[in-house]
Amino acid sequence: MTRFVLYRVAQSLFVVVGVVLLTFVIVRLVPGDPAVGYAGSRATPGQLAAAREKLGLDGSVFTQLQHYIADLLNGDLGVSIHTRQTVVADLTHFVPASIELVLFAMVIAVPVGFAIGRFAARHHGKAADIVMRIMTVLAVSFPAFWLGLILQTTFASTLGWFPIAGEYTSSLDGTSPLHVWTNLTLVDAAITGNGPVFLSTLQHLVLPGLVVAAYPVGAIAQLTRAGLTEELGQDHIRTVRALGFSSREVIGRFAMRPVLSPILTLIALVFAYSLVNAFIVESIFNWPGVGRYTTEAIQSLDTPAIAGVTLVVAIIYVLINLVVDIAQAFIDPRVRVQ
Amino acid sequence: MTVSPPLTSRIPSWINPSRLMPRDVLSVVFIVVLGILVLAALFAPWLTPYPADANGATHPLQSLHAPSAQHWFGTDGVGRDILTRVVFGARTSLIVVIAVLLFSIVFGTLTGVIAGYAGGVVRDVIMRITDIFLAFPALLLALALALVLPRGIPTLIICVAITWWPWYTRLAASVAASISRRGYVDSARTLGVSAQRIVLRHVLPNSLTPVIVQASLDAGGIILVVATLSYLGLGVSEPTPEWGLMVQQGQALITTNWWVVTFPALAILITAFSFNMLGEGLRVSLDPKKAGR
Amino acid sequence: MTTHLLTVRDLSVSYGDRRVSFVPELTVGAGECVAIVGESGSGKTSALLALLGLHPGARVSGVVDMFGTEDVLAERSRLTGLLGRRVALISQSPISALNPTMRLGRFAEVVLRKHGRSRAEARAQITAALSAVSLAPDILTRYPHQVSGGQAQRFAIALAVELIVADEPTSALDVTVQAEIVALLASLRRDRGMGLLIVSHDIALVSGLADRIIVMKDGEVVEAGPTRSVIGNPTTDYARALIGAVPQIGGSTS
Repeated sequence: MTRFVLYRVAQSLFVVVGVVLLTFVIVRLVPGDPAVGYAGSRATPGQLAAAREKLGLDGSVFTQLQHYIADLLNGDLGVSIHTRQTVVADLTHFVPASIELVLFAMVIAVPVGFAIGRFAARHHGKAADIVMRIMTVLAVSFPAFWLGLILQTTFASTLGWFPIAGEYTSSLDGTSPLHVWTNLTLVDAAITGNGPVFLSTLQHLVLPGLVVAAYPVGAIAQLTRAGLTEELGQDHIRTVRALGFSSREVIGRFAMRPVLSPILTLIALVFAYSLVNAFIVESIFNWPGVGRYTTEAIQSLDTPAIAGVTLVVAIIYVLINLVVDIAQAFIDPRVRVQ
Repeated sequence: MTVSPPLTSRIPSWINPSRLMPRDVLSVVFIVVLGILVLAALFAPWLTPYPADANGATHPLQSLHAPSAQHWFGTDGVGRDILTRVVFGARTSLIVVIAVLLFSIVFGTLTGVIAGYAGGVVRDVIMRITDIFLAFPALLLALALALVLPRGIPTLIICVAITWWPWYTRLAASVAASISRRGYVDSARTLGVSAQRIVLRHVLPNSLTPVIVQASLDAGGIILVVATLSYLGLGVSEPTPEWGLMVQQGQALITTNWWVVTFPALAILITAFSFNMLGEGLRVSLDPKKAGR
Repeated sequence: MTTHLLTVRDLSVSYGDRRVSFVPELTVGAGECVAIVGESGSGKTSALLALLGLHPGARVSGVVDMFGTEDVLAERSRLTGLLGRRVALISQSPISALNPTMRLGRFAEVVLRKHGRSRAEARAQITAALSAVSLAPDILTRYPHQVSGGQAQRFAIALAVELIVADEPTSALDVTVQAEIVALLASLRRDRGMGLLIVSHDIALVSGLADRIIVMKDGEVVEAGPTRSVIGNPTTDYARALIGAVPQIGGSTS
């Protein structure tokens, strides 16, 4: 077990190094001069040189890479061109909001996806199963931006059940200001006992949360159904049936466990996918996450910001995978053997 | 992903066309839908009422007409026929899907077979490289790259392809590894059959079924990524008809002129849905475990 | 007269219009062993699974009485009280018959607690049952893929109580292990009065164990009776061929 964990950690480190190099290469390929973007088009050569130095664009490619890595090790991702703040400061502000949105979506998606998958597997081949199959494929085929627009026009603009956009009603900043601890607004509101902000944030989360949840619900339901259906045909299921366990117990206590480990992998993959899906949803619902930050960065050729986002999301992804693989080894002893 | 792909168990059966025929009625329905889409894309200039509208013609006097006999899907903000642009949009989407899949399947299968068959250090190096590419969520890497490269269809293809091939490497590697462990490949090897021949005769045919299923499912995903990139303004640029771009241009009008967004968005949904349903259906009917029934 | 643990009348298993198995009569008493013998596809396993209510998708008719409960197949609830508590199924491939993600000890505990034992009772019963099948208690900390086929089969037998229904219990095992499992089954039957219903294609293996043999072919019973008379005096060509195919028995009868 220890060997397995060490091996996976080493593997993840290798991937992180690769990710850093790849990000560097992409950033270097950017056409146009980011220094011009930073210093302005009427900057003097001296100002341009200063901007170049500040952005780490002076010297040969090799020295730039050296600087890039040295800065990274110091936790320095450079300065964003469009916000003029350090990328690290921007990310600590924007990433939590995205994670909050995705976590909210996953809290909905995981139990709902599981339940649908179990239901379909229990009714395998019947009408209910076919309907569920079509619904889940529909869920993974829906373009997030369209679903966002539909929900926004229907439930916010027309029916007025939910707020159209934003994180929480801004007038609350005057009446019950929020003390920021974690940058996760729901969590901050909860631990500081700020009821109005908590409720308002929850209302604002529902529509974008549902949009982000659509894909994970479909994907998790599909894999749960497929995995359970296959597992229910295995010998060990016949054994427990012969030992007097009911269908419900057979699925819940025996068939689910071997299926759980591929589902965990899927959840990790889907989490990363949803983080990027959240980007689009954020710009529609004006959620102050890293997605909105990125779309703005794209418009202003903000390479340090984009490199920072890419790097951070990729590293989050590697970490999730690492955690899931290790969790898997605990759930399914067969994984460790490989 | 550590979910192992379905492996074919018997070698010659892949040649049998009845195995490749989906038994599922639903699959047939979606093959027909996709067939119509491909034909429409191919013959778009002859099928559409206003082919000039696909190439930048504008008619400001006819802007935002609701669906009618002249314009079945209505017209957009500059008076272009939306039906025409949706049909021409199928060309853009399908070209990208085909190019990405071709590259991913060829390059991915090649590297995967090498990795799976060679094993050892070669395998480790190839697999770690795929790990790096897989660490970037597809859309994000595409996003970063789309920023670097000039707008247009080739860029779309490169952006998506670069994030897609590693899946096929992994798929092919696991098939190749499981095949080369089997007894008959060993005996073929001891009998002096060349590695090249073993790969061509045994490994590639066995990779075919999982690759077909994967490709169909991926086509749906690629449609969505392409539309999303265009929606974000990173794909093709005006006046090229592209579904995601059309949605983006029409979204401000969604409450007043619903048709501008709805028809291109429906085109994305129906296409992605058909590919996904077909992939699901093929996965079930090509599953070797069920083939004996 | 022995008390019957199991009585089967006119048990028929069909898929659609095709009948894959028909057993007109079968009884197993306490301390008795009955074997159903036939080649693969003869319908013997179908009959076995059907009488335990374990044949999903098949149409099953006929009457099965078990431990005095009449017609257990009529209602699911009649059978659930018996499965695992009084009758146990032993499978052909012992390792894949166990949940791959559960340690054997945990599995045994879940099963016994399902049948109403407290945690302490379950532990005590497991320990006793393991020594009865000569397994060391350390097997409880292992996963199925970490034990041998013979060990897994002994473990499965350890969970059995009054009636064992076994589907080819030895055919996936090494020859020496096969003999050990047969000896174990024989001793359980002798010492604890367990009833055994064994399905096998190996007539030599069951001839030493079974009191009665039923020979099946193409879904029908072609020969049935006491082991001695079936082996010594087969009335059908098929049974003769089946017995003749096994050197030692064929040799002793000619």
